[in-house]
Amino acid sequence: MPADIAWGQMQGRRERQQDRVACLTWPNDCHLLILADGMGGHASGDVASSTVVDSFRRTYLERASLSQRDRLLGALQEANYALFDRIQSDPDCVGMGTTVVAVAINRGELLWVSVGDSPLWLFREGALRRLNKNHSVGSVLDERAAPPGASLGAALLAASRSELAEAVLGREIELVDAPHVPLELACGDILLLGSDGVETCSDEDLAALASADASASSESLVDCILREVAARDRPRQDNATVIAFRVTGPEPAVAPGR
Amino acid sequence: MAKKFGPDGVPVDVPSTPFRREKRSIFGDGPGPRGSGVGGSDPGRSARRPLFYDDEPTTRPMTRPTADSAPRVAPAKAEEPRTRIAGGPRPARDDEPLPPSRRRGIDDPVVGWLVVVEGPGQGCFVPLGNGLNKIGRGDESRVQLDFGDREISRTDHARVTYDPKGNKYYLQVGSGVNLVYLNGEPVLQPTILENGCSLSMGATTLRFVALCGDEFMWSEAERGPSA
Repeated sequence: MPADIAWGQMQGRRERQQDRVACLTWPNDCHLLILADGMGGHASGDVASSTVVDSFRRTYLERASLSQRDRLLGALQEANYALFDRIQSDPDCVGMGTTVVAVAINRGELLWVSVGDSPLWLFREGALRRLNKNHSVGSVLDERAAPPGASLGAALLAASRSELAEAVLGREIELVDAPHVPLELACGDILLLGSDGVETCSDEDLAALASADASASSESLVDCILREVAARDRPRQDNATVIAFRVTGPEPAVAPGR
Repeated sequence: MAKKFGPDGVPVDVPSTPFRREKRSIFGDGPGPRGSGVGGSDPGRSARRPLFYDDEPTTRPMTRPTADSAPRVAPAKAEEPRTRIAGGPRPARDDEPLPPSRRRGIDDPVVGWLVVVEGPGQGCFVPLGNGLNKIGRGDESRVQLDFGDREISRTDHARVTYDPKGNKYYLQVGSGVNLVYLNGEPVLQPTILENGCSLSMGATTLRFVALCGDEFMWSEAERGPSA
């Protein structure tokens, strides 16, 4: 479906920009949006997020025959292997990792894969709703009484709630949010993908920014959100990145036989 | 049929929006709840706020000189503690590099085979035994499918069950996130597996060859106590 896409980022008060983005749009109005928030290693969080975004998009482009969900999951898996290889080859990269949230929009149907705590929101009819799961320790513990794997379970009990329960780290990923059933998008919907630095603004603030001018371009919305984050002037503001995807028209009818 | 629509043609990269450094909250100044709306910014504060660096698009991620001519604050002071992963460093994956394909023998007689007809290891096969056969890439799997397709889960990607009493084969998905497909359709619940069916997992397509059926089956004595 036709869409207006924009993204932007700011470094905040961090030494480096460790967020990475790829937004691909095809002539037949299919779209792929990837956002990765890197962390860890000595200074290699940006290596992790770059590696994962590059590998993810490459694999997604190569795997044309699979279902969308499989394509996303396969790309995630390949990205995880790419990260593993990178860590193997470079001691400086030990301990690096990244979140990743990737969404694919095909014929108005939205699917995503998400690992970590980078939010994916849907703004529809004046309300902002988080779509993907938050793999922070607090959220994971809230969600289930019994943590999933034994190793992860023990780790969760020992961790503070704001730590990440899962990320792409080049080893087995135990928590992946990848819905089976696509979400139908409608004209006027706005998707927002962010790194957690954007959460300096509350959901209510983001909703207010998105509703301020329903016809505003994605570019101006991205700009508004980043300026709002900057205006909060947090002494330790994290990297903040936001992708805005606004559906600008209905899915055109598909000719039979296609 | 599985849906196969998807992107078509050459994709275009959406470039980033340059972020203009204008420090004025539309909710009013400061972190409080939205307020007066207009104004509220303090020029003095803006002037001594050279800490927000505009970022370039993702194309040159590694060595980006800051566009800001103002002196940078020592990062060690300004930096927030790095995001930590619960549990600290976990050991590296134990299945890398890919081990040589070591297949554990199935103690009981073979009841069928999976033959790789497409993907890494094309032409190879693995035998299936009585009862539950968990298929995975790792060598702890009863049926080890390890011909180089790393999209196959290490353990329990899919399960093929042979029920000797009913003399039937079943296919079901394993306990991980990855799916298995039967004749192009995802297998979401245990499904009868017929001789000659096509299975796919990861980038591998397999043909199922049954030994047992109307014409042949192992007697109870031959197939041993395991079933």
